[in-house]
Amino acid sequence: MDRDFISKKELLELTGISYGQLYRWKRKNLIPEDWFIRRSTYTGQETFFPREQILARIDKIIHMKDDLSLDELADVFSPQVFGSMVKREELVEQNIVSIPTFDLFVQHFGDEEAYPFEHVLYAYMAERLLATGEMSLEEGKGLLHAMESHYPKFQGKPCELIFIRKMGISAFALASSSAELYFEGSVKVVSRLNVAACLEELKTKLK
Amino acid sequence: MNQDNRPDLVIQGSVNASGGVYREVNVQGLGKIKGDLECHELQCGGHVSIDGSMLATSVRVDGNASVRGGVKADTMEIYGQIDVNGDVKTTSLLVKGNAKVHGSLTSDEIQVKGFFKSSGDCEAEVFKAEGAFTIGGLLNAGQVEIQLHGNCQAREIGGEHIEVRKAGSSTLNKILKHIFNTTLTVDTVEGDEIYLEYTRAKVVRGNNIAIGPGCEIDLVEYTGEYRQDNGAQVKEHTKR
Repeated sequence: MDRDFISKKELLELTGISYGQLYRWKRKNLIPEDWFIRRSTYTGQETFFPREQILARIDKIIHMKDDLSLDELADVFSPQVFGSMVKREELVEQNIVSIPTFDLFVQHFGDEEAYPFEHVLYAYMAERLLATGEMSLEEGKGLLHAMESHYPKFQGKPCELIFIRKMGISAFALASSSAELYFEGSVKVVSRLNVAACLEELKTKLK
Repeated sequence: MNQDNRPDLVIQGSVNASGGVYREVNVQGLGKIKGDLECHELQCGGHVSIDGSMLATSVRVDGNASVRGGVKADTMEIYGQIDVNGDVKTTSLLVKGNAKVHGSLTSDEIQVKGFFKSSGDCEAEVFKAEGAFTIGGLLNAGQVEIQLHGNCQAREIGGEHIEVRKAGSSTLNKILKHIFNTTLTVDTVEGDEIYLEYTRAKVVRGNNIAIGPGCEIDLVEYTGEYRQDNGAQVKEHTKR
């Protein structure tokens, strides 16, 4: 078994949660259905999970469940972007984006009172890359453009934003998270952003 | 939505009707509904076939109903027969007749006193069965209470509290037992508290486990307490 996956048994031993808890969280949609991967082993069928994702998720559930109810948590983890709007002031005040990112955002999406939640997500992702210095403001436009034109096609399914550069020329791609990608040698993968993870972070910030 | 403006649909005799939004739908004869149906209340004493999906507050079927798409309803009571081709989402489901779901079922509370079959998973907070069922996927419920009256089957059962008991020894049950084998057949049972009788399983895992009479189990893994009845066959049990 490759190391990217963890068996259910190992997971419970490692995290100290019980079968009951695991199943309850699955019922409450805190753990997505497609993370339960059934594979046959020599003892019969067993369930495996994507190791990093499930460990991070369980860690979050354990730490957040004192403050939030399970249903509220489910909202945080839900990949659905329900058509909520975010007020213009909140963007900067809640520390979601910095002033330069905000200016870029306004240039792209126009000067509005409030913005759809998904647009704010794009801005937040741009902010992440700008803050680490991996991306220039000019390239940020490309990011907003790529997200706006292609993200809705995923309809809330997990995906990843890939930022590459070859000989100084940058490009963005969106790929479903199960896809394996290989690049030619001179391509530098500057950054890969898990959209669902960004979404979760943004939701917790907006709470 | 203002429900007062909605028309009622009453079918007596043999009628083809179109789908749409209704207040009450009452089928006493033979009704074919073309398209998706949305209504407050569906009552069917006759035969109804819906050529789309159904959204309703309450559904009661005494006769025979078939739905081509999925069903979303607040409460569902099945005394007759229902056949749903898609997924079913409901808050409470009572099956005293026969219910077949070709997708998965999600509900807060499920009570099976007749026969229930789902091809996919079945999720509920409380699952109580006093009849027979076949679940093609995972039965995931906070509380699982099964009284074996007929042959029960699931690929996997997981939850917090799982209890499987043989039904009382009435004469009818004795006769039935000779005709059908009243056991639960399942691959894996996983839960916090588990009590099993007359169950055939490959693996039983959990915290506190008690294996009662009539069980045939390959492997039991437990972390807390373990008890085993003399009339139970367990090939191997280990404490983790």
